Amino acid sequence: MRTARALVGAALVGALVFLGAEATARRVAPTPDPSSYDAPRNPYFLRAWPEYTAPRPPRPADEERIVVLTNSQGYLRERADGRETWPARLEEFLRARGRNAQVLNWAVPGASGAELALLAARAVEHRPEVVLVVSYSENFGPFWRRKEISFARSDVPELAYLPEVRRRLPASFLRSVDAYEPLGWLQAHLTLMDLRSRLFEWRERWTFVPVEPKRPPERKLVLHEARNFALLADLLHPLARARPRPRVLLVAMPLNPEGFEDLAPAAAFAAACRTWAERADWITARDATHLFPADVYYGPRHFRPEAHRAFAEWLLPDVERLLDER
Amino acid sequence: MLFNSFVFAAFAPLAFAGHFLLRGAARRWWLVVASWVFYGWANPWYVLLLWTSTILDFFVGQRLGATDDPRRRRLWITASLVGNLGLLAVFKYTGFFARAGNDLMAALGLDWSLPVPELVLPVGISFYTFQTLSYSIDVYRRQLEPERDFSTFALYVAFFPQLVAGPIERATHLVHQLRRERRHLARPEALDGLGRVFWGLTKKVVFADWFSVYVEQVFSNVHQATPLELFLGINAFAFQIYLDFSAYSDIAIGLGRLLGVELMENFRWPYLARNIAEFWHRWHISLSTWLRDYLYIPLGGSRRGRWKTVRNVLIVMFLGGLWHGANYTYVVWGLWIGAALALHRLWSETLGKTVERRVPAPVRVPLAVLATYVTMLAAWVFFRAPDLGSALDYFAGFGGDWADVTGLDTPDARRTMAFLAVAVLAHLARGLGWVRRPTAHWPTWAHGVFWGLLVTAMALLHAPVGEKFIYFQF
Repeated sequence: MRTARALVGAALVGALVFLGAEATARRVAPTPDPSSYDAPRNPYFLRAWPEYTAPRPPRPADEERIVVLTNSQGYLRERADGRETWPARLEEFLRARGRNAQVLNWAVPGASGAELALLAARAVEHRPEVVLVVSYSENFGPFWRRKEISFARSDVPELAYLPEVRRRLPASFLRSVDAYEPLGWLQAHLTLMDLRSRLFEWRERWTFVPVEPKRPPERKLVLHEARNFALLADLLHPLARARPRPRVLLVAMPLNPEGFEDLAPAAAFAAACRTWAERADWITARDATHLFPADVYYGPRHFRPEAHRAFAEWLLPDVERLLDER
Repeated sequence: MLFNSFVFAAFAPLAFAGHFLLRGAARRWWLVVASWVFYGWANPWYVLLLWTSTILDFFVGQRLGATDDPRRRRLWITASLVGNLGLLAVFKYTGFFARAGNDLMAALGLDWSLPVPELVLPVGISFYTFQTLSYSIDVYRRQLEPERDFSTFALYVAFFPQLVAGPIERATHLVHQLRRERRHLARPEALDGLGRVFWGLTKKVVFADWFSVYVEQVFSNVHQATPLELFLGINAFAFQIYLDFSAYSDIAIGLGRLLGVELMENFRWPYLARNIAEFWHRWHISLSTWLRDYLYIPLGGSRRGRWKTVRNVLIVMFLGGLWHGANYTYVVWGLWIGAALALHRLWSETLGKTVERRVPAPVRVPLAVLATYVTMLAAWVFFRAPDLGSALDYFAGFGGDWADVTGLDTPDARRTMAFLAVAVLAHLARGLGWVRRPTAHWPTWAHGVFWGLLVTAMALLHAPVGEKFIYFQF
């Protein structure tokens, strides 16, 4: 009995020490500004802006909000200024036309469809008028629906352990991406664990640092064959149930015509987007795969700044129409 | 099942609850079944091998105990050796020997090749086969009475804290502890045992796993790395493997202590060794003493003259290297250390004594520690490299420009240097006698603070990779 008392006593003291450390971590952890384009990036996890894990800010009554779910194409790692990205340009154009619009750029380099589905479930909290999904077959292939969410290199998987996000997603999705990892739960709920990457990365790495632009690829890339885009259904699931329901613009993203061996898988994704648009009147689909010539790209997928501007211009009429339709 | 997994966090309280609630054979069987579940968690078929080894050596032990006829006794011990080493040979070495045969045929210019089977190596097979073998050999040598109770013997083979990566326990040390009825768990044992578990986990998930991140970077980019990066990489691996393996031993010893069982210490600050022989008295002690007692001494040890001693050392370390893995790199690793041991022996018989007399200890000891460490650094290159060619490339990389410091100006390199500095300072403090193990005398609250700090350190500093313990593969 004396031993049991000692063990329980020591465990309680240990728990107090740990909780004290966690409370301190919560106090010192920075809170990112959700509307900022120069919020620090976490290079270790290759995540985009961290606003999707931040508390939802109060929203002015007359503001129109657009959430962008995309991959590295919306991230522009080659430049130091997030204001050159096409979501930022889109916001600039909308404001220039007299709209009080805010575009939240949730671009995640290397994002899988599973991560975008989690972000879509999170986006509902922001009550957006429009959700803009710009992606291609590689992000939505069946591989990502079978792979554990903990495999993802961003910190988006943390969202899978927040109750408000989980309840908006289909149970089959949570099962197939194995969103039942205790370590994932801890990662999502302990600020101490979030602070880790800041400790191991020097301060300068937490700011915008441009990366060397990719040269044109020596060999053309091969896209994985993908016919089943079930992850697209998972992504649309929370948006379909949201009230008020946002308009959704599904865009098959522009790709360098000289960067790939065969664009048939990308075309299959564009066709899947069209099918969804035919099924639901709140969804619009556009195919931008062949929108630009090769010389506006850094590599097979990333735009040069001028193409970011051009892409925002291309999107503008559709986005405005969707905003007006509501 | 991994100690650093949440499955184990759920498994352990159940196993402990049964242990403390049950009595006698029921308690032993509870732990036996728990150990089998622990072992078979990843692949239930592996348990069949564990059962084979258990039943074989239990039966051999009974037969050895029932006969005095030397011929029959030799027959039974041969059965144990063939059975256990046969398991190892089939699951661990078939592919290696087939490849080696094919290499030989190719070298001789013969167009003939053996099929190379791709068998999955069952986790920890090298550990428990050596453990059961030691039991049969001890009974054969009449140093141990055969165990009559099957549950006790099965628990000796499968005791989950040390089943997968040791320490390789001797029956003479462990069986009587397992047979003993559960005694009252004393407060110092309980607190110290749990503290040892937390300490081991921290060493693994904070230090060893972070080192592994950098080690992987360097070893997968040997041709691009500068000499300083290569040097940092191999130092990182030296501490990664030490912290990883000793962490497993810490956890095993801590868990054993919570179950009322004292397991043997497996490490005693090996990088403070003053020569390579002392290193092997401090590193993986349970294997080095096994090899000494069951291989080196039967070969004649050091009693048959200088050159036969050298031969015996080389044979033992060759087999010790092969025990680690079926790869030429492990063979070279073993032979390298064997050669170093032989050279040390020749040195200590000749010049060593003069040096000891003439050079003062404050100069001699640090130099000796450094020389031993550097000898092991070279050995670790072979141990870590995927093949001999890569190991030689690694050494060749040291011929580059040592003034090139560009590779060290990365967050990963800086973090690795910071962690190495902590490890070196800890060794320095231990070497100077500043570090003791005082936890047994701590008040309860101090244990609690210690645990809380360790768990906080794990949450705040854990590496992003959930690496398996390195020695699982052996």
